[in-house]
Amino acid sequence: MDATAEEQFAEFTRTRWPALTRFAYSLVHDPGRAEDLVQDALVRLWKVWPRLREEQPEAYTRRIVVNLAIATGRRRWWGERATAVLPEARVEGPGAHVAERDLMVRALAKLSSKQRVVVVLRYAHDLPEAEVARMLGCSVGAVKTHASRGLKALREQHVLGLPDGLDAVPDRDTVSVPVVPAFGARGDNA
Amino acid sequence: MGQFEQFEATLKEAVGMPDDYVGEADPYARVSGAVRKRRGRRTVGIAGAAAAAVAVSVAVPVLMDGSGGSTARAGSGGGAAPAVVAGGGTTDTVLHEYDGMYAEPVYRVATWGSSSVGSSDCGWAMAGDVVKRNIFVVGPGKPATRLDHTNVRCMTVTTGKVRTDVLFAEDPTLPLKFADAPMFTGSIAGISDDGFEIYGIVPAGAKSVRVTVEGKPDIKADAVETKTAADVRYFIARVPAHVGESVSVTGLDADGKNVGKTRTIRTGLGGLIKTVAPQDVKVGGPTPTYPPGTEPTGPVGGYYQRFIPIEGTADPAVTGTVS
Repeated sequence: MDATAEEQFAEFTRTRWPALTRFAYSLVHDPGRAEDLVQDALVRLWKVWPRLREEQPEAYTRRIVVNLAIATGRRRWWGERATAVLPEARVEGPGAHVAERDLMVRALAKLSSKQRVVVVLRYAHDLPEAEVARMLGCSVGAVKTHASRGLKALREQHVLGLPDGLDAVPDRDTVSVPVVPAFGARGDNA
Repeated sequence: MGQFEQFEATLKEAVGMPDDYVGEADPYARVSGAVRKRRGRRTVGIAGAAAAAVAVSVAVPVLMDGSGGSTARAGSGGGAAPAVVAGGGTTDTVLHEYDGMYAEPVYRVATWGSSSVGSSDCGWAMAGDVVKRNIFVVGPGKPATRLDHTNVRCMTVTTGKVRTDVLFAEDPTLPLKFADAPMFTGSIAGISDDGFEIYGIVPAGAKSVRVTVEGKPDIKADAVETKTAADVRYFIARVPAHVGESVSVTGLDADGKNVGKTRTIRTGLGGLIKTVAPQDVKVGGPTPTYPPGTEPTGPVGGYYQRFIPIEGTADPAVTGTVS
C-alpha cells in the first residue's frame, strides 16, 4: 500500500471508528467486543483498501462487522453494562423503563445470532429487507424468515409491544396491533 | 405510540451505545497494530505455536487464581457443582482494572477468573447524582442527608466486562455505621444461564454466609473486609439458581451459628434487590406509597433511590427530600 492510500485508510479509520463501533455495539451489546469486531473488519478492509477506497469502504466494513457478529454470536453478550458512572436514574414509573430495556436485552440474547442481527438491523436501524439481505449475503426471503422467527421468539418472551398472534414481519403501515398488557407493571419483576 | 412502535423504540434504546462509552484514542494505531501483529503471526512457525500452547497451559491456572490468597472456586457450568466464590479475612489487594475510574482504589473482595467483586470509596465521583440512584442506609423516620465521599462506600460487582455498582452510605448525623446495616443481598446474572452471583453485606458479627437454593446443596461463602469499609464484610457466591428462584442467605459467626435474620431474595432479570421494607423516593417529589406486598424491587446498581430501614425498628417509613 502506498503512502497516500495508507493516509486515506488512516483517515477513514479515525473518522468512521465511532460510528462503526456504535453499529457493532448494537449487534453484540458489548463495547469491548464491538471494538474487536470493528478492528477485525478494518484489518480485513486494509487488505483490499487500494481496490475499495474509491468505492464504498464503509458499507464493506459494516458487512464484515455483521458477518463477524453472526459468526461469533454464539458467545453470550448480555448482562449489566460496564460503566464508570452509574446509569441515569430518571424513570417515569417504578423501574418500568429500565426493566423494559433490560428485558429487551435479555430477550434479544436468547435469539440465534442471525435472528438477533436481522431484528436489530430491521427494527433498530430501520434497514429495508433488501439491504439486510445484501449485508448478510442471503435472500430477502431468508431475512423475512429470520425476522419473523426473531419477533415470534421475542413475543414469546413477553417483550413489550409485541402482540400475540404476530407471526409475520409486520408492515408498519398496516399492521393491526392488539392490546396486550405492558411489561413493567408493578410486581412483574418482583 | 402503538405497541410495535414502542417495541422499536425500546429496541433502539436497548441496543444503543452507553453514553459514557469512551472511544479509542487513536483507532488507526490500534488497527495498524493489529495488522502488524497479524503479519507477524504468519511468520511464526509450528514450533512457536507449540511453545505458546505450553505457555497457556501454565498461565491459565495462574490467571484463574486471580490474586491468589483465599479465593476458592469450584467447577462451574454444565450443571457441575456450584462455584463458590469467597474472600476471607481482610484484603488490601487493589483491582487495578479500575485505576483511573475512581479517585480511590477499588479493593478486591473476591476474584474468580475474569470476574471480581471489589469495594471502593467511589461515591464521591457521582457528586450530587449519587442520591438519585444509589442505595444507602439511613435511620427510619429521619431525613436523609447529603452523601459525599465521607459517608459513601461502594461495592463493585463485575462479571468479566460486566459491572454493577452498589453504594452504601453512613448517615453522619446519626450514630449509624456500616456495621449497623441490615444484611444486604442482591443478585446478578452470571455470564451464562447456569447461575447467579449472590452478593451482599453480612450482618454485624458474621464471618461467612450460608446460601441455600431449594433442592441444591448449601453453599458457604466467607465474608471479607476491605480497607474502604471497615467493619463491613462483603460476600459473594455463585449459585446454581435460575431466574425467579428463591435464594436464602444466612449470616454465620466464626462458630457457624446463625447471625441475624435470614434474607431471601428471588433471582431476577438484571438482579433484584429485596430490602426489609423498601421505600422508593423520587428526588424532589413526593414519596410514593405502595400497598403492602406491592413494593417494587429495583435493579442492582440503584435505579431507585432506596432507603433500607434498620431491622428491629418499628417504623420503616422514611420521608424527606435528599439534597
